[in-house]
Amino acid sequence: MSAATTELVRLVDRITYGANRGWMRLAESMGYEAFIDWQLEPDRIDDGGLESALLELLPTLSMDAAALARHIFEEQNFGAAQRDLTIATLIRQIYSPRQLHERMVEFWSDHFNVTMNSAATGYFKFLEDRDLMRPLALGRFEDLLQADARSPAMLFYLDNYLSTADGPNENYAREMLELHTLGVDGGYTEDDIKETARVFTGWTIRQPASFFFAAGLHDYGTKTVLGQRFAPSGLSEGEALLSMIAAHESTARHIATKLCRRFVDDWPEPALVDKVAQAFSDSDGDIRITLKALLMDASVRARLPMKLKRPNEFSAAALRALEAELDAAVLTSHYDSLSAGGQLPFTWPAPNGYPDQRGYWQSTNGFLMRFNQAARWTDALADRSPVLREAARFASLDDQIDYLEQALRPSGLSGEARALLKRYSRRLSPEGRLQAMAGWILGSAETQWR
Amino acid sequence: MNRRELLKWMAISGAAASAPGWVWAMDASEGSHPERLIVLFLRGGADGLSLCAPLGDSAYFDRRPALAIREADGLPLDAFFALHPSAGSLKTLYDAQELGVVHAAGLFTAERSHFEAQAVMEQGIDSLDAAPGEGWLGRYLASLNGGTPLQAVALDKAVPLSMAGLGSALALGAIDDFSLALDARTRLALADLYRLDPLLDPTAQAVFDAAGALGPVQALPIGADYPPSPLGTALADAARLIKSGSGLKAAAINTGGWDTHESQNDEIAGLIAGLGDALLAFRNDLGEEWARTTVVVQTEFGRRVAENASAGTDHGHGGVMFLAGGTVNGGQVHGDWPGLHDSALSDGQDLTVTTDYRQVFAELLATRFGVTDFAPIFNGWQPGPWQGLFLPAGEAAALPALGAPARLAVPTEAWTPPASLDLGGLSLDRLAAVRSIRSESVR
Repeated sequence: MSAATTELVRLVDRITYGANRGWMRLAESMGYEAFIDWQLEPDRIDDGGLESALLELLPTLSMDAAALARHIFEEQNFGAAQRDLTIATLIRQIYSPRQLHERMVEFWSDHFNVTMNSAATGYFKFLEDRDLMRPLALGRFEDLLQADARSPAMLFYLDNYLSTADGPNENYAREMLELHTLGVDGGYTEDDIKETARVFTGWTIRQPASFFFAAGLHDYGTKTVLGQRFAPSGLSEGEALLSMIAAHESTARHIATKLCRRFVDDWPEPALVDKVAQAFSDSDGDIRITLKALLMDASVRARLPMKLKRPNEFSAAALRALEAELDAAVLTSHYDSLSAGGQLPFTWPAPNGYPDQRGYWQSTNGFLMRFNQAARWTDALADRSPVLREAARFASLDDQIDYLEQALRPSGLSGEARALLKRYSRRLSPEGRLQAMAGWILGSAETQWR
Repeated sequence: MNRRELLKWMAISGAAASAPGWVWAMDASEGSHPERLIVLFLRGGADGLSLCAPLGDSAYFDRRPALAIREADGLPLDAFFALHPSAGSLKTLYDAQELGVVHAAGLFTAERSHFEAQAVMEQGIDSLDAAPGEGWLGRYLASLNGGTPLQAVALDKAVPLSMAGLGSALALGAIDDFSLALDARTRLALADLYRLDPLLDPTAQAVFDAAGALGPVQALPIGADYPPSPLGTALADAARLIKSGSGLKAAAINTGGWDTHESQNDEIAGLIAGLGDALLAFRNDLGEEWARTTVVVQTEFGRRVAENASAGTDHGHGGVMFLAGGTVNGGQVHGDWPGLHDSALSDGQDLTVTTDYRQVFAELLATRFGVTDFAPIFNGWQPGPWQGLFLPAGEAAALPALGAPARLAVPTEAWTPPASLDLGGLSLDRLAAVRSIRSESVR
């Protein structure tokens, strides 16, 4: 495999939910940089009618806040928002051509985590995903941060909607500084948290789901955060504070580290983090420019696949590699992977979002799921996967392995893995052999990395 | 289950053609009345002042006008402390001398971030400045010889940091769901494919070992009336691991929801009832095994002494620990009470820590597990004098019968994701016809 192809496969595996034949053809026809540029402009990507078909399938997706509230709370469809957002998310991650956009929606959903654990949080999160996360996922960081601070989902989840001058609630203030912006070692103190909480008093929710600044509940004293004095002015104090913090060098470093961690390596090289943080600062937190700097970096292009796929990446990548045709079996099976693997969308129980390091996901429970699912898919999807259907054309063992490698492992199978496939499949009939080998490849160690 | 029964079960089930080495190790462990430790971590920072309220401290009522447990409602433990009104099952255990409380416990160095405080505690240190990257429990277990594949388990989706560093620690999720649906050839092929990858290989082999070893555990029925919650399931699974003679030495269980920044009294009643009911069911389920089992309940920090305006509490410092088991010197509140008056508070606002959380684990390891050298386990730290938290090994309290709790109907509007996706008659045909899904060019 040429060096250019190797780089391309890694790129596609990094910024989509998994390389397959169609996506490799696309990437090869465009080249490394053009493929990135194409993916960075999701609004200009023809989605083949996916979003409009989703709207047709799930009427909730086009309801306004009031109509959705009626649907959930008055008509007592208490799990409707959770179910529909989950279905839409799973389908988009596997099938949307706007793959990098979906990856960034997932990234920010982890970063600004809100847990769906009640009818109310499901309702708020559903609206936030549609009206905030998806439109802003590739925009400017400060826009995301400002919108998130006013998002009913976040105001409710971290209790800021209850925070008043008489008794500020510190929950949002702390997690915003620790998790959303500066990072835990970003240079703030316990006093900075208290002062930040005072700044955000009165930031609350107006029913059914809009932001409201309750001036009567706001603390109109002077506050000092990170040495900066905020004179009492009401709502604009919080806006100015977020602006200052979004531009802070600790924030650039924190976001850069997390992006490098998501796309490249659990423990990214300091030089790479510096470079990405610099791109973030120089562009005033422009996420597209920051991502481009990360993906174009020579060390990233040369880096081996160092990331253990998370359960959703493992499952989506396998279904994409099989080119599974969407139906109920595919969707419920993907859900089962995430349920057994412990990564259903928007259900991580703490404000820090799903972990993004191998130490957490490399568990017996997680690998049991991978083994079982790999075997199940090749059984259950035998008729729904063009890869498995077309493979019947090949009778010789070597041809079959070549074919499966091209479809399921675009980055190539190791010689040792190939020898093992041969050894274990020799006594099987040609048809049974092919299905069995496909399952072994999807469940194998090599396939777990991206 | 003894070795002969296990071999018979393996022969019937075809679990293995020949018994693996650890089957022979079971005899040894069964002969020596092994001790087990269950570490139950309350994630989110549980409010020690509600779990075990200092009713004798007048400052408590001054600082908690809305949230203080009223004297008429608390379940008194002594002249000073009372358990939360919904802690009936904890009170039952306390009265049977099988539950002890260590108040004002935690990290000496205040850390008010959930994630940092949890990471510090699970690594057995006091601050992150010199973090070893491994868990204290993992370091202790790794120092023991032998052991079965099921000696150290997390009854959760992942192994917690406290067990990190022990390659053989297993994350089992819920035990009834842990089964391998592979034919023999696939199992062998995957095992060989993973030998090519030294990083992932131990985990893959552990999956095969655990799936084989769990058979006899899964064959046991649930032995008591546990609350229908993830915590109930986890403790029921821990009991099955113990009763099946699997060689369990330590289990880690997590339970969340304790980050009560708002409406604390509405939230915490159900959490406390759920904790107590699950522990009492666990005790009744274990029977005589309870005499060699210790549950340590810990949390990353307690909460601010003063309530906030949302009828909740923000992150604080000192917290509470519970010790439950037939091994516990129970029926008393241990630890020095620093007081809640202004001059006694940590940073002028939080309960001061008087007992290092490691002191509790060290005393347990010394008294019941025969550990004498703590430096390797706690990264050089040495414990102070023992506080008499546990009964010496070999002494087991006689087990009275304890009644099961009356079920509290806790109103909740909680939503948890369904076990499987219900498409409710949605037709995906129109979607399946979408061009991008049919993997044609999407440009």
